[in-house]
Amino acid sequence: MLTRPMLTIYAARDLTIEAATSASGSGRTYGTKLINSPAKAASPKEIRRFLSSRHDRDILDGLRRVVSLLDQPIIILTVAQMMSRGVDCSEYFADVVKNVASPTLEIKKLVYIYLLTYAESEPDLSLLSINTIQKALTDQNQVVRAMAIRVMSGIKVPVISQIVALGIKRCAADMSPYVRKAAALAIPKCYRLDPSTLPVLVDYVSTLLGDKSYYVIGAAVMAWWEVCPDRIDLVHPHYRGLCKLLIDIDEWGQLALLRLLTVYARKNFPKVRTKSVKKRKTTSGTKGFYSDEESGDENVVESIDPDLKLLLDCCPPLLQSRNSAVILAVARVYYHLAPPIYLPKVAAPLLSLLRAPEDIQSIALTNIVFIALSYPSVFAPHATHFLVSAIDPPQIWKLKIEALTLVYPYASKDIQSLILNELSYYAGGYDKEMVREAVKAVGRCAQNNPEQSQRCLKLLMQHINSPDQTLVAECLTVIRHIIQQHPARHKKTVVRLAKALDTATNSAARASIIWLVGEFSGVDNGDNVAADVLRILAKNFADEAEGAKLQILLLAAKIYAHYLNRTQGGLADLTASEDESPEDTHPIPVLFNYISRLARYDVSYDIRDRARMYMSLLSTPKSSQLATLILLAPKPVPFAPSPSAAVREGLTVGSSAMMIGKDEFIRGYVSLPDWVSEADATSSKVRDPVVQDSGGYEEVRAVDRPKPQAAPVRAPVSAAPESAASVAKGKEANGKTLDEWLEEEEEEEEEESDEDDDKDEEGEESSEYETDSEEEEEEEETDDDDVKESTKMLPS
Amino acid sequence: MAGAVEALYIFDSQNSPILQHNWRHRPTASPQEYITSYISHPAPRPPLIYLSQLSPPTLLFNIVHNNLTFLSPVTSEVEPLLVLEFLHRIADVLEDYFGPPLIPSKIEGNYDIVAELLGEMCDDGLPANTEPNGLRDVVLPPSIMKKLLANVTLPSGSLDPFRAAPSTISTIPWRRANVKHNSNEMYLDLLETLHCTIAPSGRPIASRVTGTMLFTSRISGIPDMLLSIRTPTARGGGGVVLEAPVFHPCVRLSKWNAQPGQLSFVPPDGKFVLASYEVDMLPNFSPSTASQGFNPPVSVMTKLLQGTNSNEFEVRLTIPGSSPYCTVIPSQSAGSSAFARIAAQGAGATIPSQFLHGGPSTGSSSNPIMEDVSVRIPLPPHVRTVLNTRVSKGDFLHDTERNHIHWRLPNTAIVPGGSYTFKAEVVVKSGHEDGDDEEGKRSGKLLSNYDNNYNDGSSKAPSSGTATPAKEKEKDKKQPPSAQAIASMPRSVLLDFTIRGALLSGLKVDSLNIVGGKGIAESVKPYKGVKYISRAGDGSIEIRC
Repeated sequence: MLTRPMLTIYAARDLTIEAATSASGSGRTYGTKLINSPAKAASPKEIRRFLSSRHDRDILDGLRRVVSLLDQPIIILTVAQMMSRGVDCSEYFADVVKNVASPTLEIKKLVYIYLLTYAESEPDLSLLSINTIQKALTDQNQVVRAMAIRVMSGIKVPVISQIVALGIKRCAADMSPYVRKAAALAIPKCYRLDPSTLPVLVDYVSTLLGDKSYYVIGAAVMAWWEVCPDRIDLVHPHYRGLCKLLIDIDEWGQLALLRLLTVYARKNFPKVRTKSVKKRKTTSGTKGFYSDEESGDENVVESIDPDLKLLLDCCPPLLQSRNSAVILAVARVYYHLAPPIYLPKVAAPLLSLLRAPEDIQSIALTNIVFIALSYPSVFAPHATHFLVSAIDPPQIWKLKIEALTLVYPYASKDIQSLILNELSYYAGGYDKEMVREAVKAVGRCAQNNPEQSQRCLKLLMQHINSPDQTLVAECLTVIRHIIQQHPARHKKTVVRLAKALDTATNSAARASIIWLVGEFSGVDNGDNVAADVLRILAKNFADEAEGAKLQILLLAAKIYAHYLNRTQGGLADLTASEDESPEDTHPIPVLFNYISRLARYDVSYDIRDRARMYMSLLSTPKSSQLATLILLAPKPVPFAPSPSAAVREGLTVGSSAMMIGKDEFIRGYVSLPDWVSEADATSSKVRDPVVQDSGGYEEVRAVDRPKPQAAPVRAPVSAAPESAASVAKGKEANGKTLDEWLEEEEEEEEEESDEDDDKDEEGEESSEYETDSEEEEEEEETDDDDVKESTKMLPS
Repeated sequence: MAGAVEALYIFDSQNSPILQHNWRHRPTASPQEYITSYISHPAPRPPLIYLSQLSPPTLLFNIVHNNLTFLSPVTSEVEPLLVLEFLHRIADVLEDYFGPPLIPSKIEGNYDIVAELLGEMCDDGLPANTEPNGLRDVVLPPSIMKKLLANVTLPSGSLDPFRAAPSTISTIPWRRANVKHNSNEMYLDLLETLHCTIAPSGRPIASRVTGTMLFTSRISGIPDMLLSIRTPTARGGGGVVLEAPVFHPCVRLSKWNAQPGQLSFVPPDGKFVLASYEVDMLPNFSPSTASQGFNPPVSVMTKLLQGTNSNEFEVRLTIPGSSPYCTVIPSQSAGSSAFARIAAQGAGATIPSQFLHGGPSTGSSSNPIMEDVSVRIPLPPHVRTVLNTRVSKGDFLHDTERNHIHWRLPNTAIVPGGSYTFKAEVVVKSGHEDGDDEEGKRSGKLLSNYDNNYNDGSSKAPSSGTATPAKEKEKDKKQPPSAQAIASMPRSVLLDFTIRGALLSGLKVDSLNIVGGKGIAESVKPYKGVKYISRAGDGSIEIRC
C-alpha cells in the first residue's frame, strides 16, 4: 500500500523536473538550482488541475506550489515556491481559496498562507472564505481555532473588522491559552484594519493583561504596545502580577513586558532619592561618589518605592537568559530606573554577550560603552574583557579601546599599567586608524586620570621618533593636549621634548615641539630652557623645513616678548632711555635679531612676512602690550570627550536609536518619559488587586541624588609649591646645557611631588584644579593684566 | 518602541535572493535595493546599517549564517538585539528542520514548510513561537510531510499523523508533546574555547575560557533530569568559578542559584544548548607577580629581525614535556579530516554541530589527546611574500588573500616535549621604502623599550626617557635593523588547537540522571554519553611579538 503512491509521486516529479528544465532555458540564474532541488515546477494549467483535484494529495501538491511562488515571473515554480520568491500568484486565487474548507489541516494552512498574502488584492473573493474561517473558530482542535483567528485578523479587508472583533472576543475567552495568545496577537491587526474598533479592543487587552497564563501575557503586552501604549491605567491592577510573571513568560514576551514596566515605572514612581548620610570622616579621601558607595552601603540611604523595588528584584533571574536582548533589556531597567548600586549586577551578564556572534557583540559593546560613560566603575573589574584581539573588526576594536579608556581611572594600578601597555601596543600596529585611535585613547587616559599622565606622556614620547608619520603627528597632538591641561606639571616634559629636538627629523614633529617650548617660554619668570633651545635652533635655522622655521621665528618672538615684559615691568623708568639704544647686549634680543634677520631673507614669503610683522611689533615698547596679546595669549585647554559621549548622550539603552546615534532619525523612537514628580506619582493603592490599605507607601525625601560622575570640586586655591631656588636663580638663562636643565628640573620635581602627596591627603580630586588656577595666577603675574581679556584669541 | 520585525530576505553567497517573507506592510524597497545597499557597505559590516535614503529611513539588520545573508529591514524603532536574536533563531530552526548545514537548495526545496515556519515564528511582526520543539507540534518536519503526501489518499487511519499530533499542544513550551523513542539516549557535549592574550614576554595577560554545554536528548515522555557538574576546587578556595552563566529556559534557575553546579531541567527533544559560561583563568591578575598559574597547552615563542638582513622571523611551538594532553600518540587517521572541518567552520560563534556526534574522536576523558595544532601568522599589509621558509615539521600555506601564513603540525608530532620551528624571510612590496637607517635605529630601540615595559610591568616608571634610548642605541649599533624591516615583521601569532577528552577549565560532569518525570518506564536505562572538547581557534589565542 505504501509503495504505489510513492511511485506516482516520483513519476510526477520527473515530469516537473522536465518542465523546470525547459523553463529554465528562458530563466536567469535560477535554472540550475531548480534542477538540483526537488522543487516541482508546473504550468499554471497544471497547478489549476491540481488545485481542483478531488484528492487531497493533489491539492496539497498544488498548494505547495502556489505558496512558494513569488518573485520570479519567468520560471513557474510550485505556488508555494512562487510566493516565497515574490511572484504574483493572485491568478490562482479562486482555485486556491475554494480549498479553504478542506478538512485536512495541511491544506488549510497553505490556503491560509495564500489568503494572507493575496486577500488584499481580491477582497470580494476573500469574503467568500470568511464564513468558513469563522466556522473554524469553533473547531474542537485548539490549533485550528488559533489558526482561524490569526488568519481572519490577517485578511486585510476592512469590511470584516466587526467580525474579526467578535472573533477576538470569543477567542480571548477561550479555554486554551494557545488560542488566547493568538487572540491577543490578533488585536493589533484588527486595530490597523479598522481603528474605530479601538474601544472594544482596549477592553480585550485589559482582560488579557490579567490572564493567569504565562503563555498569554507576553502577547497581551505586545498588543498593549501596539494598540494603546498610553493607557498606563490598564496596567495598574496587574502590575504586581506582571512583575512576578516576568520570569515565567517566554523571551519575546519578556522583552515587551520589560519595555512596558520601564515606561510604567517612569510614569508612576518618583525618582529614587539617594540620601547620603553626611558621615564623612575627617580624613575623608573624597574619591568621589563611588568609593563612598562601595565602601559602605550604610552611607547611602535610599527611599525606594516598594513596587519599584519589586520590579528591580524580579529582574536578576532574567540576567541568566540565553537571549541577549533580554539581558540588555534588564540592563536598561537598571540603568534608567535603579539607583547605581544595582548596576554592578548587570556588568558580568552584559560582558557575557561578548561570547555571542559578532553582530550581537558589537551591539552589546555599544551599550556597554554607553553605560560605562556614566558608570565606568561598574566595568572596571572586568577590564581584561576589552582587550583587542587581532581579528576584531573596526567597529568592535574601536568600542573596546573606548571602553578601556573609560574604565582606566577606576581600575587597579596593575590593570592601569596593563591598559597603557595595550594601548601602546595598538599604537604600534599597521592599521593607521587603530594607531590614531590608540594614541587618542592614551590622551583620554591621561586627561581622566591626571595622576597617571606622566606615564601616558612617557608612552607617547616613545613614539615621537617613529618613522610612521601618522603616529608621530597624533602623538604630538595628544602630548600637546596633555601638557596644556596641566602646564605646571609638565615643565620637565617640555624640557624632554626639547631634548628630543636633537634627534627628531620629522619637520611636523619639530614644529609641534618648538611651539610647545614657546608656550612655556614665560614660566619661572624667564628662567627656563626656551632661550637655550632657541640658541641651539638658531645654529641650523637655514637647514630647517619651512614649518619648523615658522615656529622657530615664533619662538624667538615669544621669548623676546617675555623678555621685554620683564625688563619693562621691572625697570620701566630706568630702561626707558636704554631701550632706545640700538645696541642691547643681552643674549635674547641678540638672538631675536639674528633669527628675524635670517628670516627676512628666507625663500618663503610667508616667513619673510611674519618676520617683518614680529620685528615691527616688538620694535617699540608702545606696541609691546599688543605683542603680548598676540603672542602670549593663554590658550584654551583642550578636552577630548569619549567618542560615544556626544553621539549617544541621553538615548535609551538597548534602542536602535542609540545604535545609529543622535543625529539620525528613526521613526517611532520615543525617549523614556521623565520621572514623574512626587506630587503626581500614583498611589500604590491603584496597584492593589483587591481594595485594601497596604500602608506601604512611604513619602520619599527630597534630597538631590548626586550626579553619577564625581562632581568636580573646586578646592580653595593654595599657593603653588614653588622651588625657591629656581626663582632665586634669576635670569641667567643661557649658561647651561639642556642636560643640566633636565637634572635640575628633576630635582625640583621630586620636591614638588612630595608636596603633591601632602596635598593628596587633603583631597585628590581637587589637586588638578589647584594646579590649573595656580597656573592662571602665574600667568597673571608674569604677563600684562590685559592677558586675561585675551583668552578668546586663537593660538598664534 | 513597538518592537516588530517587518520582513525577512535570505540571499545566497552570490547575493541572489532565495527567500522573501513580509510580516508587515509593504517593504520600503525591493530586495535588490536592500542587497545592493548591503553590499555597498565595506566588508566588516555593522549588524545594523542605516539607510537614510529610503523613506521612511530604514534600519537594515543583517546576519550571515553559513554563507547565507539574512536581511531584515525595519522602519521603526525596535530593540536591535531582538531582531538579531530572532534572525539567529530563524537560522537555527531552519537548520533544525532541514538538517545542518543550511544550504540554499534546502530552503528552495521546502518553501511550503519555510513559509509555515516563518508564519508561526512571527505573527504580524511580533516574534511568537521560536522553540524548535514547539514548532514541531504545529509544523510538520519534511520527513513526515513526505510520508504524509504518500498517505493522504488512504482512508484516515492510524498512519494519519497530522490529525492527531498538532491538536495536542505541549504544556511545556520548549518540549513537544508525545515524545516517543525506541532507544532512549542522551548526550552531553562540553565544548570550551580558550581566549588568551600573551604579552611579548611570554606571560599571559588575559586568559579566559568560554564554555558551552550542548545537550542531545532522545528520551520518551517527559523526563526530569539532574546534571551535577564539579569545578576543580570549591568556591572561595581559589578554584574556578563559572561566571555569567546563561541557561536554556528549561533550566530551573532557583536550583542553580541555591546549589551552583546542579542543573535541574526537563529537556527539549533533540539538540539544544543547555548553558554557556565563562571562567577567568587569571582571576588575580597582576603584572608584578611571576608568571605562575595558567598557561596554554602549547607554548609559542617568536623571534623577530633574525638573520643577516634582519628580515627573518622565527616561530617556535613547544609542547610541554609534562603536557597531560598527549600521553598517547594518536593514530594518524584522526587528524586531518578534523582539521578540515574546523577550518571550514565559520566565525567561532556558531555551535559547531560536528562536535555533537560522530567524527573520529580518539580522545576520552581518561586519555585526553591534543590534535590539529596549527599557527596562523598574519603578515603586515605591505609584505609581498615570504622566502626561504623552513619548517621543522608539518606543512604551511601562504594565504595571499588574507595575507597570512597557516602552519599546521601533523597530529603525530604532538608529543610531550616536542618543539618545532617555522622560519621565513619577508619580502616587502616595492615602493615601500621609507625611513633611512638613522630612523630605523631609533625604532629598534622603541621596540625593545616596549618589551622592557611589558616585562617589568612598568609599575615603576622607567628611569627616564633620555637615558635609556642612549644606551639602547649603542646596543643596536652592531646590527641596525631598518625601520622597514621592523614594520614588516608580524605583530602577532594566532594559535589553534583541539583537545579531545579534557576541559581546560577542569570542569567535570559528576552525574547525569533522570530523577523524575513521566512517560518513561522505570526499567528504561537510557544510554548516556559525555564528551569533553577544548579548543582554540579563530584568533582566540593571540601571542604578541
